[in-house]
Amino acid sequence: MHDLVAVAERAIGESKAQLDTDQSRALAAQVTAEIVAEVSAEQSAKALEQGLLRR
Amino acid sequence: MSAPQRGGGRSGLRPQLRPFPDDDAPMPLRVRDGLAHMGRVDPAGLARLFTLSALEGELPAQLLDALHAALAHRTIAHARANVPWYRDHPEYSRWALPEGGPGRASELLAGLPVLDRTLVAAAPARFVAEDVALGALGHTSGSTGTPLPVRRSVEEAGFTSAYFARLSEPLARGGTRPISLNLPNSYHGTPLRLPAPGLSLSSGVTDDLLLAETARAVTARYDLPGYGTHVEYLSGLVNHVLLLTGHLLEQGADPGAVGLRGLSVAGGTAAPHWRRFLREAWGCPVTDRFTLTEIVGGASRCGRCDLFHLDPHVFGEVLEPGSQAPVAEGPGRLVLTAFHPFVQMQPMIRYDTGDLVLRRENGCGPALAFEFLGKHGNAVALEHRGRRRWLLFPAELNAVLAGLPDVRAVEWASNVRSVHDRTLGGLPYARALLDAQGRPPELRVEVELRYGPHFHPERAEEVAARIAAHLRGSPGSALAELEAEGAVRLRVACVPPGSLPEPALKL
Repeated sequence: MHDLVAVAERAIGESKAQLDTDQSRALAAQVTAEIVAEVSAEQSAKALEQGLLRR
Repeated sequence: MSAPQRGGGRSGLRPQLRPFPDDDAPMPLRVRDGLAHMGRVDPAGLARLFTLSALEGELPAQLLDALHAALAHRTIAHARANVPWYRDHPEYSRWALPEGGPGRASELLAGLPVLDRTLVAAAPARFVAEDVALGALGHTSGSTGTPLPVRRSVEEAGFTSAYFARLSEPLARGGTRPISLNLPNSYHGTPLRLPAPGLSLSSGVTDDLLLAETARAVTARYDLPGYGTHVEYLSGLVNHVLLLTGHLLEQGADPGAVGLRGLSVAGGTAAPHWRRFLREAWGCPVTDRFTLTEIVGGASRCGRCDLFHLDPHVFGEVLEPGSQAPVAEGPGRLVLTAFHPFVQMQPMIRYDTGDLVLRRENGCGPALAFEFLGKHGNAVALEHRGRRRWLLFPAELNAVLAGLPDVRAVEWASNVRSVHDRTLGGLPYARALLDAQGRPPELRVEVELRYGPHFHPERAEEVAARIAAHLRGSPGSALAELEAEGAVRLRVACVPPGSLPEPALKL
């Protein structure tokens, strides 16, 4: 898999891929929209138990 | 390339079936053949490849086609080795990647059967893979019939978790991780658990106590080392988010003061009126998600072209209803394929979602772009001169009614007493009937108002005229053209409260 990623990065242009961080963040935000819609409540429950939340 | 080999152990995927493609081969072909025939797929590597395929340009677009082809190979190889229904159908054993070149992306799965919910629901056990362990059991909502059980394996949950963690990494960079608040969808059984890029809070709006807790959580300031100081992402079913927003406004709170960076709505049709309202109320981009339980993934509405773009890891086709002819542009049924290893226990290859969409060309990239039109069974069509002509799409009717406060809507949150307008996000009372025997055939649209139309006849006429104009101008509809020919007549009738049955669960 590492080889395939390297082949694709080389062909598309690694610098271009790095420059396009805005696009990568936009994609991440879109994906996050899906993630937060599905995420479990475990993390928040844990945080509440540990008294981390201060309102 | 020769045809894919069968078998290959319980997964059906034998590592190193053939040598790594020639160094001189074009990049997309090298990636396709390498990914198709490798052993285990590394989720972080695949996430990186999909990220590269989302960049602008011809080569990234070719990479996306290559990834789809490789994953189609893996999906079919796995299904025919491990899933009884696919194993028993000869079409799957005959399927092979195109040799010597990438082939046409639109024809990747052409010739394979198209599944629908009825077929899967009739024998769900025959669609279950034998090589993975059950991790979660969900189900469809049953809005179009019997709910379909949806099985998820431990293995696919692990893969999707690692994949999405890698994809969402850019959001976690730069010092602090974001806090998100989720109003979970409890209508589809056990949700697939995916990692959040930061801290995810979870709450609800379906009773007064929950709603008060949610209002507090979303407006609170936090002091958590390594995390932001307030909720930055909010997500949930569209009617839940609307109810929360309405509640805050009724209480005199300004949602815009929360400082959200993103709001995501799913699980229903977000009419343009409500998307605008949410964007203005919260002062942030609204991501409208199209999802279905049977497929891990879906589509997001694009901020530039305002159409849904299919997620890159899902393969989509738009086909003519009643045939397998592809639709290049215009209305058609949406057929999706969930790829292995995202979906492993209950593979869905060419699954008819039951939804009609309007396929559109767009300048935003290679992803399949469409507008959602509603359930196929709820749309109205007329056979005219041997052709099916669409007259009305439920999502278009909903779109115009959502902008008319005169129209009565379902008070879906009737038990939440702390909110005074409990209809926010509720579907309107309306129905469309076609009298095909009339001369000419008549499309009658009945819309229930919040008041007796006889009390405000001029206003009721305005409402009816606005609805009619919108329906005649709906993209993909032949209503205006057929009316001009005298082949059909539209009549919009405003009726008093209590006249119509409660609307269906979905459009």
